[in-house]
Formats: sequence, C-alpha cells, structure tokens
Amino acid sequence: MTEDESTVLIVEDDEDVAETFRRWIEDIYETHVALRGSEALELLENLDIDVVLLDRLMPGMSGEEVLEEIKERGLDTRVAVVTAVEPDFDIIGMGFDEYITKPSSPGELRDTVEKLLRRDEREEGRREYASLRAKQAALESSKSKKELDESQEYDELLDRIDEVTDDLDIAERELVDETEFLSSLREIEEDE
Amino acid sequence: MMSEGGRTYDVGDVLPVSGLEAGTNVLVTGPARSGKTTLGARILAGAPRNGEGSLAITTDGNGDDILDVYREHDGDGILHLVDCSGSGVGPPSDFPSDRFQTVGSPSDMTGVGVAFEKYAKKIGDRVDGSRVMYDSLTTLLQYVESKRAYRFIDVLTGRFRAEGDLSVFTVDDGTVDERTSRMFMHEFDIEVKIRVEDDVREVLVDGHPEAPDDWTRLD
Repeated sequence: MTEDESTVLIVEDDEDVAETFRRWIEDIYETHVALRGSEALELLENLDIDVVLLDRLMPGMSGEEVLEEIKERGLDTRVAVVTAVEPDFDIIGMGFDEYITKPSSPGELRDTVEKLLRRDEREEGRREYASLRAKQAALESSKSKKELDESQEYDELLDRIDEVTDDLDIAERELVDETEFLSSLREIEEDE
Repeated sequence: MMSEGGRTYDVGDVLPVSGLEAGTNVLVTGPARSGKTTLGARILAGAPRNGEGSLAITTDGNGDDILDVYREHDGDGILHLVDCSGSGVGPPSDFPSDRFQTVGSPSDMTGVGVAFEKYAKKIGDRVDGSRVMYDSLTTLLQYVESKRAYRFIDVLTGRFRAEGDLSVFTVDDGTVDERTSRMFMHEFDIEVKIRVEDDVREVLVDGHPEAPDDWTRLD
C-alpha cells in the first residue's frame, strides 16, 4: 500500500537511475518504470498515470517525441522532464509542465511530483473562478440592482465565488513559481 | 489583494495619487485615441529614476510610439519591448536588439509569459521592481474570446502581484462590451479612466484612497 493514491511513471533508459528514482518515491505513490519511450506510451494508454517523470535524452524515442505522442493521443497527465542541464523557459512552451535537473535526493523528486499534483487542483480552481466571474458579469449586465438583490441565483453565485477565492488562497493566486505561471498560460491556450 | 511589503511606485508626476503599492495591477480605460497608451508609457518612464525596470508588451506593434513617449520623459532609459502583434516589424530604429523580443501573436499566451520571464531573468536583481504595460486588451479580444482573455489576465496579474511589480493594462471601453469590462475589473486593484473634452485630457482614479473624487486634468 502507498500513502497516496496518485500514480507516477518514471521513463528512464538507465536502469540504475530508474531504480533509484523508484526507491525514492514508491512508498508514497504507485510507481511504474519504463525503460523506453514506446513502453512508456503503452503504460500510459493502459494505466491512469497522474505524473510522468520523463528523461529527455533516451535512445529510440526521445523525451520530446514521447511528449508529442502524449499530446497527440490526448493523454491526461502531467509531464516533468528530467534533464542534465537547466533548460530554458521555452521548455514549458514545448509542452512540458515542469523540469527537474538531475535530482540528487528523494526530497527533490518528491517535491516535483507534489508540485504537479497540487497544480492540477489549482488550475481546476482557476478555471471555475473564471466561469463564475463570467456568470456574475452576465447577470449584472442584464438585471437591475433590485432584481439582483432579489435573485437567489445571484446570491448563491457570490457565495460560491467567495468559497473558490478562499480555496485558491491569495498566496496561491500569486503565482510565485515561474513554471507554474507558464504552464497555467499554456493550459488556458490548450483548453477547449 | 495587494501584496504586503512597504515599497511603492512613485506615479505622482502622471496620476493624482502619489504612489502605488508594489503588486498593484492597474486598468486604464477610455475611448479610442484618448491617450491610454501614452498614459501607460509615461508611467513606465518613471522607472529609471526610481531604479526600477520597465517592460512594454504591445499587441499593436506600436513600440515606436511607446518609445517616443518614454524618451521624452526619460532619455533612453532601460525600456524593454515585447512585440506580440505578429507584424514582423523589427525593433524601433536605434533600439538595442537585446531589449527587444517578439511573440508570434497576441493569442500566444505562453509566448508572452516566456518573454516576461526572459525579461525578468535578464534584468534580475539590478532593479528594484518593474513597471509592466500590456497594451492592449482590446486587441487581445480580437484573437481570443472574453473568458479565455479573462483567465489570461487572472494568471498574468497574479504573476505581477507575486513579483511585486506595477502593471498597467489598457482597454478601449467603447469597443469592449460592458459585460466583459465588468468581468475584467475584478482582476485589477485600480481603474484609471480617461476622457477627452474640448481637447482637454482628464483622468479619474478609482480604487485608491488618496484619489480625488473629481476628474483631474492630465498635464
């Protein structure tokens, strides 16, 4: 049994590295390992994976090619690229959600996984927040003040906005993390 | 919604308030050709003398105009430009290319974010905060529908707040419908309204305790 129900897929061609990563996180998450890109895609099709830790440089399919396939097939998962050197911000524009440079401790790897799991919740919150504000604006511009005061729908809407705002928490809305900022923007572009 | 921390941006030379707290997001509204871009550029031009950075993101390819206003008020300063108009026109003449970035289209939101982060990384700790202008939301709305634009503003203003920057967005309130501008206002701490009457330009600042209740003349 793991502490968390979340699932993580490690894609890494170096078996020793892959096993080290697995040992670091397998107590917390249901952890899978793929040594090849093609194998990773097969697992992604068949399992519900929340976070993929993807090696950028692999023989056969590269990390970028695997990412491209993930997007192509519309697989709903978060992808962190594992690189040897610190990449440019463009890495987020390419479609990765996060990067991690050669993790050297269990803590680092766990932090990355946690960050991506939490980000999902926050983005869902931001999406709902925008929908509520759109509804609010629609009501406010179509109804008189008196009508609004008497509207139960409007009242409930304002309550829900307060709730979501509290949930998001001001600190989280502040987007302190630059990769979260960039991946949130990409998410807005990609949303249907 | 404004962040804690004492520092303020001095805007007293442009607006009828002395300073704006770090992390403030400002929306400048007014009809077409009322001088919204000019007002924004003047706010940016206050950056160098206060040891701050400045970045103008333009959707309209009007970097030249912004630079002209900026230079009138503060020599060359250290203005950085991001052109996301997709016009393919390069940097304004005599403008250093290392302070100029392009993004393919206003709808390339990630591209705008990446350009901002590249600017922030480049300017680094050499400055004490930045003044950032996004000109204009009116143009953005020609590329993306209002809810997507709203989410973009939500994330962008959140980032500026986190960084303790001062941001100025512009929107043409004659073109954008009331519902949309009402929705956008939720993301801003302050609204600066501009009007032009008999060739006199006036502003009204909404959301600031110091601001006068009446329209004041813009010099």
